[in-house]
This record gives sequence, structure tokens and C-alpha cells, in this order.
Amino acid sequence: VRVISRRKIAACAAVLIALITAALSGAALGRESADETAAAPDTLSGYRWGGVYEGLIRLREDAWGFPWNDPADYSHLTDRISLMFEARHGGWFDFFVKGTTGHRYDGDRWWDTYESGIFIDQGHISGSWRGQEASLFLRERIFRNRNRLMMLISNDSRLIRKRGEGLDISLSAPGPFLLTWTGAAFGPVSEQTENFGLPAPPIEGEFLNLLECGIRRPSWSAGLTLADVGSDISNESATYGLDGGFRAAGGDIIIEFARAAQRWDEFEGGFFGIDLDAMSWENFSAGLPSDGTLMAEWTGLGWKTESSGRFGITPGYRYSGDTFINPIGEVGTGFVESYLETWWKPAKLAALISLKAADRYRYAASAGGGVMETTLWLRLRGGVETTARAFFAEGYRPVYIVSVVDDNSLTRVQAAGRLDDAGGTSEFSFITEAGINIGRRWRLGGSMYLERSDRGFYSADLEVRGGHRYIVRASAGNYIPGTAWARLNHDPEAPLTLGDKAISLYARIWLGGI
Amino acid sequence: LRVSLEKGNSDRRSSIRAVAAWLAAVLTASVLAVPPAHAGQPERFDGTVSSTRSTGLAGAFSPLADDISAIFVNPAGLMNTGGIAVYADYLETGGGAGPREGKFAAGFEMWDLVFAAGGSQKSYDDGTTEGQFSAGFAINLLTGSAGSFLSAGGALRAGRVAFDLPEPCVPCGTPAGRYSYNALTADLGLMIRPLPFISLSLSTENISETGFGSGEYHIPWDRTVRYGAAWLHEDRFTISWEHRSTGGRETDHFGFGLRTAIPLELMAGMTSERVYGGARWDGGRWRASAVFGQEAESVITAGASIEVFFNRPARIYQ
Repeated sequence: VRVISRRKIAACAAVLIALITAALSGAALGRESADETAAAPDTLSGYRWGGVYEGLIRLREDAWGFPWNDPADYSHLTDRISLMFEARHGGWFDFFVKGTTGHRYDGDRWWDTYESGIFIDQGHISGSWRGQEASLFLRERIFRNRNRLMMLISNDSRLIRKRGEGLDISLSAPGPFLLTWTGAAFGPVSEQTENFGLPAPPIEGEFLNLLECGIRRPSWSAGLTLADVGSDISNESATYGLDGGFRAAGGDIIIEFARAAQRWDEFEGGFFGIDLDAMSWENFSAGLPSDGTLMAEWTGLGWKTESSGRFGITPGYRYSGDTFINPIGEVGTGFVESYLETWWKPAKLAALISLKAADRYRYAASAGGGVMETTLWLRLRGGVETTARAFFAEGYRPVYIVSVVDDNSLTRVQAAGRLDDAGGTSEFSFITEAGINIGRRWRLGGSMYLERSDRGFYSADLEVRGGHRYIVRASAGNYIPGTAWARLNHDPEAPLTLGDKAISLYARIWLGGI
Repeated sequence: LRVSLEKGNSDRRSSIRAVAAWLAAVLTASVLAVPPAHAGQPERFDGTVSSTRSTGLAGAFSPLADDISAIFVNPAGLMNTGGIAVYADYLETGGGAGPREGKFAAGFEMWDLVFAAGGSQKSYDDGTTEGQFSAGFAINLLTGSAGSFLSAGGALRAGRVAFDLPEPCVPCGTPAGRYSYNALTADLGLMIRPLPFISLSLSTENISETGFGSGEYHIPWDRTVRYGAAWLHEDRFTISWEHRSTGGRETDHFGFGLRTAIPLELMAGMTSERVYGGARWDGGRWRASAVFGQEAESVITAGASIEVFFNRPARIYQ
């Protein structure tokens, strides 16, 4: 791979986009059609606005920092007034701005700080013309994954979760082509509220250049991703990837490949970096680059019979080298696994049975082995859903999970029990969250949670709703319901939760809007 | 008492004679038991008995008391059962590190009364066993419309504690061996449902606060007083609370039961910041439960029970 600087990549991308834009525009202009005269009607013009107040007061047992001391993981969890305004015209222009009060710094600083000043929180100005779109955005979740196997670009990644600001250009040809370029700057989170939240000049901080292009046809698809992240003085990450797919035997074979390094000139071994000599059928991944990732899956393979229902299998392979670092995505580092998932949907039952077997190896631990996951899902009378799952992994003790969910007009309950055969002793976890509707507005709820035979958590809450206008909830307990359910059900290695006794009052009031 | 006197007098006389003979035997055994003088005897006798449903509701069971295990907790709750029912359960604490507890109880309905008898035994790894046997009945003193009632119940309860003395007690002249004590006491209970969806209860176990042995070799058996309230909503969910006083220790228990669209009831409860839970399946002629409870940090009680009905009355929901 040639040594290409980050700025050159950006320049090349801009030139490429300009050329393609000119070509597409020329082609489109040549097609004088009645569609052009029947442009978007003026009635599409309009505006809307809205406002919401959200407040949370939490009294904790240790009560330091009252009242803004809840362990928020989000910057917009607590007290604030949000006002938004959006105006659009004819389907080609859109302006959106959201201002809010209240901002919490968490994660950047070791103490929990709350500022109540007003600032612009999110916004964009976007325009589109003949299918081409461009947008200036401010801290929005604009990054897309295009349903790829690997989350190479993710709004929840280590870098992008800082909610940057920048320019996003998307070009769509009249056919199945797609070309997008996104440039974004990521400044310190603590400075996002300065100057009323207006974007800072892109002088310092980290910058992202992302170029994606692709083509999608009924029987095949292909795509290319180029991205680099860095500041004025250094690159932090350079990533490129290829993805493709084609139909085979009634299913789709999807293959995706990517490499990442700190600098563009650090890639070695050619474009793919594959060492064919080291590769063998027994150890296919030995020939793959350590700074690369390869994922492949054969989806959609299934059969159906009238009497037995539907069967399906999904074989797949995932490899991520032990030096593959992906700050803009969510691809893990240092593992290889091949897996086969089989599933059966019986014809006359609302049930699904699946079995996933995998051979997994983690480079950091220099260990691996077979992994098996079984799932039985049933929908029973009255909409009661129950799921039973079991995880078996070589070198680890098994985990068993059973859960039940029942939701009806009067009550809602979800309960799950989980047994971790943790060696020597079995750790049992149990959670139940239930609510009772009292009339149309009131709801009484409670939850209890036993975590790994060790600690018991509980909460009770009373909620009142006024249609879409307001919701007020008072709760007391030593943990926040809703945080444990997903982890208990899906994370076989769930850590212990710490909890403090607290009384909370939460209100969300709709101030108005159109 | 609304006991029918027109029929079954001879049966009742024979039943009363049998009960009297059983009581006499227990009392005789209690009086004749010679307390061995030794150290190492159990400090207290744990007289509280928890069924699986009681465990799943964190002990907030006495205002509900809707299965035969009510004989151990609140005999007045036996009026919530009927027909002929047999109950058995097994609970184990800490994967065998704590007591292993088994219970068996049976009850039947006759002359508008519900009679029940049951025994339980806790076994510890050091060889100590604590056994109890209760026999009693419940009666509706008042019956209102739409399911309201006032019921009372009573039971005689015999307790037995046995333990091993591995080393002889030289100062007190007690040889090594296995020793046992017996004691007899009684339980009483009241249950009031002024409205069909509200249940109030008051019960006491070991009313005479008897113990085992005497003098400095006395093994105390604390009296337990319970009172509580429950909300029963159309057989869909129950919320219950029980306050319990045992040996000067006051605890509050909160329980919640919710019936899903299938005959599965999910239970959860909390007491002393420990959580409990479980599920009960109602198969019509039988009910089965699986429950757990947190006895202490990293110590779990888990158990299961089965309850079989014959001629199950319609008033008990299915």
C-alpha cells in the first residue's frame, strides 16, 4: 500500500465526489422529463417545534452532591428543558436545532459536575438535490452501518460517542450506487457547552474522514470503506475495508474484510496482508494479518415443510487480529471463531429452538475451545413468552437462564432466573419486575433482584401519566430497574452491581409543540 | 360453631378419642424426657416453618395462607383449602451447607371444617434434627357475601430436637451419645376478609412459649406472633405484608404474586433487604412450586413442592 497522508485522502475524496457529482448531474440533466416539472410541491414546506422538561431528583443514602448526584451514564439524563425547532422546504432543505439546558460531565472528569447553562445541543442544516444530499451536523447520530456483519463505524464506538460535529455528504446515483463522505471533528466533551454549544473551529481535537462507496444489485453487492482518525500532529487510526455479498443456494454469502493501523504507512504485506504460506485448512487464520479482521456468514439458508415447520442453518466465521484497533467501530480485538447456528420453527407452535456451536479462540488469553448456546423460545396462551437458554463453554462453567414475560392490560411482569455454575458453589440470580395498572393513569410497580446469590436489590415505583403530556414517577429502592434485566439475560459474565438506597422523583413534561 | 350435630356423632367421638390418645402420648413423652446435663446442645429451637409459597413471598404468607401448609403458619388459612389435599416439599440451604428441610401435610374438609395435619423436619450436617408435628382445624365463624369471611384455626404442635454429643461432658457426668427432647405447644390463628380482595391475619405459634429441657439445660423455643394484610386482586395478583415477632426480633416481610395468562404464578418478596422469588404452576388437580430465598450473603435456600387435590372445591381458583 502506498503511503498516503490523511489530508491527501480527504482531498482525493473531495475530488472524487466532485467528479461523480458532475457526472451524475450531467446524466440527470440530460433526462428532461415530466418529473422535473412536477417538482416537490410547496405544501411540503413547514416548520415544527416542541419542548420538553425532564427533571430527576435523587436522594441517595450517602447524599453527597445532592441533588445532582445520580450515576448518570448519559449526558442528558437529568434536569433540563429542551426546545427544538425544525423547518423544511420542498423536500430539499431541512434545518433543525435543539437547545437545552443542563449538562453533566461524566467520564471526562473524576468528579460529577453539572452545569445548568443553555446551549445548542444538536442540529443540522441539510440540503438535497437530485438525490444528492449534504448536511452540516452537530452532535447527531448520523453514522450508518449498512447492515454489515462488522460494526466498522458505529455511533456508540469509543471515538464517535463523543458526539462530534462536521460535514456529511451523501451521493446517490439513479441506480444502486452509493457514495458518501463524512468529515467530523471531535473536540473535548467538556467544551461542547462553551459558546452556547456552537461548534468550535476545527483547529484542535480529533478529526475523522470517512469515505464509503458501494453498489447493491439483486444478486450481489460490493462496498469499500476508507477512514482515518487523527489530530493535526498524528494519526490515531487508519482503517480500510471491503465488503461483498452474493446469492448462493437460496441464501446470501456475505464476506467482509478490514484492516486498521495507527498510520497509513504501517500496513504491510500488500492490500490484504495475507500470508498464504502460513495458511492451512487446520489453521486458516494463521495467514490473516494481525491488523485485519475477516468475517463471513452464509445467511438465509432454510427449508420449510408443511408438517414440521421451518429449519435453517447459518454458518459463519469471524476473525479479528490481536493488533486490530477500531476506535470508530465496535469490532473487538484478538479472537477467531467459526460457528454454525441451526434453528427450527415448529409448524403449529409459536416456538423457536436454536442451537449455536462455535469454536472460539482468544489471543489475549491464549485460550479457547468449544462454545455451545441453546435457546428455546415459546409464546404461550395469552401472549406469555418464556425463554430458556443455556451456555456451555470449554474452560468455563455452564450458565442457565430462564425468563418469562407477561404483558396485558392489567399487569406486566418479567422475571428471569439464572444459574451460574461458578465452580464449587452455584451462583443464582433472579430478577422480577412487575407493574400493575391502576386505572388509566396510575401504575404501581416494583422489582426485586438477587445478584449472584450475594446481594439483594429492590425498588418500588409509582407512576402517573397524563396522556402524552406528562409522566411523573416516584421510586425508592437500592437500584434502578431496567438496568439489570438485559445484562442478566444476555451477558454470561455479568459483573456485580453496586447499589445505594435512593429515593427518586422523575418528571417529563411536554411543554408544547406542533 | 356451625358444626352439624345431626350426623357423624360416633365418628367424631372416635376421632376425639384418637386425638386425645395422641396428645396423651406426646405429653407423657415430654414429661418423661430427662434433660441430659451437657454443653453443646443447640442454642435455640427454630420453630418457624416455611413452605415453598411462604419462601417465594419472603415469608409474607400468613394473610394469604392458601394451601395446606397453612397448618404451620396460620391455621385459620386452612379455610382457603378444601376437599382433600396432600402437600409435600423439600428445601435446602446453601447447597447442603445449611439445613435440609422436608415437610408433608394433608388435609380434608368435613362438617364445614377443614382438618389438617403435617410434619416437618430440619436436618443439619452436625446430626442435629428439629422436627415438628402439627394437627389442627379451621372454621368459618362468619361468612358474608361475595367471599368475605372470618375464620379461626388452632393446632397442637409437638416439637422434637435431637442431637449428637460426640464428647462426654465430664463435669456434668453426661456420656457421649445421641439425645433428644420433646415439647408440646399450640398455635392459634385468625383470618378476616372484610372484602373479598382484602385479607387480614393474626396468628401465634408456640402460644405457651414452651421449650425443651429445663433449668440451665433449657433449649428455648420462641413464640412467634404474626400479623399482616394482603390485597388479592381478582386472582390476578396479590400483594402481602406480614410483621413477625420471634424472640424479640421484629421483621417485616413483603410479598408479591402475579398470575400470568397461563396458570403460572410468579412470586417475589423481600425481607431484611434480602430477596426471594419463585413460581407456582396450577395444573388443576395439582400445583407445583419452585422457589428460592436468600438466607444470607452468598447463601441461598432453594426448594420445590407438590400439592395434589382430590375433590378440589370450585372456590379455590384454578
